[in-house]
Amino acid sequence: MYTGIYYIYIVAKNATEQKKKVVFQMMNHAIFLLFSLYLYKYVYGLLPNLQFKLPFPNAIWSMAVYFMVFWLGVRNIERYFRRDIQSGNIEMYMLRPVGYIWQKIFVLLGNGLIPFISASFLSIVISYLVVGLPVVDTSLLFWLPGVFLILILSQILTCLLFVLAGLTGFWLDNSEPVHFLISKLIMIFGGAWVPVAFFPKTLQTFAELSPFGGSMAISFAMYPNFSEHFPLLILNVIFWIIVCFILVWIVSHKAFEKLAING
Amino acid sequence: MAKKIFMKNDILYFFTQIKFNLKNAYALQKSFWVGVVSMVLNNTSFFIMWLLFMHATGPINGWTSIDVFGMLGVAMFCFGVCHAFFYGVRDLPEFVLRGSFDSVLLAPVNSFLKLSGSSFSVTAYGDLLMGLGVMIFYGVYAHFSLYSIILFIISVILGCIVFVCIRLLCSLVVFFIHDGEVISTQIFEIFLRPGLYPGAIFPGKLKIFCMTIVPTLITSAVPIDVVKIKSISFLIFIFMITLVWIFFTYFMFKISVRRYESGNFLR
Repeated sequence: MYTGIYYIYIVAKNATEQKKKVVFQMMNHAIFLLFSLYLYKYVYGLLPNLQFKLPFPNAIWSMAVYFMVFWLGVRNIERYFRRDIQSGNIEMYMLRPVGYIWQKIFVLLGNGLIPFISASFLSIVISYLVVGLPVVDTSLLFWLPGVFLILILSQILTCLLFVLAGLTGFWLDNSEPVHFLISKLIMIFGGAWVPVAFFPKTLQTFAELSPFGGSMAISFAMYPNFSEHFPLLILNVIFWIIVCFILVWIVSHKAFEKLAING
Repeated sequence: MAKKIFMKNDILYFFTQIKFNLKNAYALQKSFWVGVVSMVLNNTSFFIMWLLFMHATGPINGWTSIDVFGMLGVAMFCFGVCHAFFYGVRDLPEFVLRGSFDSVLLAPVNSFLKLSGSSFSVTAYGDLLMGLGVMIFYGVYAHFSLYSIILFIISVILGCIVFVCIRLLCSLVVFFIHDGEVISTQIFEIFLRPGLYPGAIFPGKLKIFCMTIVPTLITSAVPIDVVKIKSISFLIFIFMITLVWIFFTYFMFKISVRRYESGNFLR
């Protein structure tokens, strides 16, 4: 535990050296957020009936939190795996006392921490100042811890999904197509550009119950029926975490057995 | 200015580079097709997402699902052309940081063309082929007349030119900001993203802003608008904007290249 936190701290400290990078990332984030806000405001003005599908503040918050967690960069873990497999550097990491997958997770969290904190601050401030808090059917005291719990669990699920994608590289050599497939399914069913509430009912149910929607359950936590859907969201995410964890355990053992050291 | 900007030999050299890049990529045939197919899969997600949006909203400002379909096709085609034939422009920051930009400047061919073909992206061919297929489908589905086809082709060509200009301008950041590789990508994303939203949901002022100051809509929604309103004056307006961007990019390229110090990776 201590090793992990120290590892993340060191990587995050190194990452703070790239101040310009973070500044431009946050500029990009803020511009995109304001842009989406402006466009959706116009669309809601043109089509007032959309309010019945999802109120405007909730639509904005659901997209804002999606892009907030985007900056944590959990999806990049597949790229780390791919780079190590293709370059052969993986053998170097395998010799270290910390497990390979854990090393990559720590590096990823260290790198994503500062952009994530900055993006969270920006997302919350911009959304709150422009549209206020989302309309939810419960008190703030219940909603906030619920959102926090969903955030943690959904990011664990996202991490497991992309670890699985990265592990396919041991067989495919290039796991990029798998990464594309998973990230785009998450983009659609996580409500990145278009909130899932706009989808037909069947697709909404699929999005909520699939691992791809589950990995972005944080955006569903911004919907008005939060208290009604909270148990389902949590159970769904936990279910997929267990399934993916078992898969990662089996696949990683097989993958590391397959590894041929060049020396 | 008396110099000829694009001489015949330079253009021949550019096409030879592309031919060899393609040959190289095709040598690993399986990897080539995996790259192309994965990009097609990647792009399909945008179609699904916006078609679901249009399904929920119905036609907006005269735009239907099929227009959004065509718009995404244009955006993918412009992206594909830029990254399939001018990928070196995207890799410019890497060349500068490594100091390998020397080889571009010292070559006895036009620097821009030499740079453009010096790098290659396999996945861009997925964008290119899919974009082309979607545009043809859109043209057939929308029963384009010959006049519309001509307007559409001209506006798509203008879109491709603007896309290459913006890609180059974003890469030129590296001459002004040390370690500008990531910054260049971030600036390019700011340009790229609005172009992936349906042109119909842009309010008037924002639309003009996104056609002139940040000309992202020229690379996506404008060709659809051109064939919808069939206005030659609108096309001339887009042509003028493209000219402005070409000249601006040309001068910025000249100014930026002068700032390059040989082997500046030693800084």
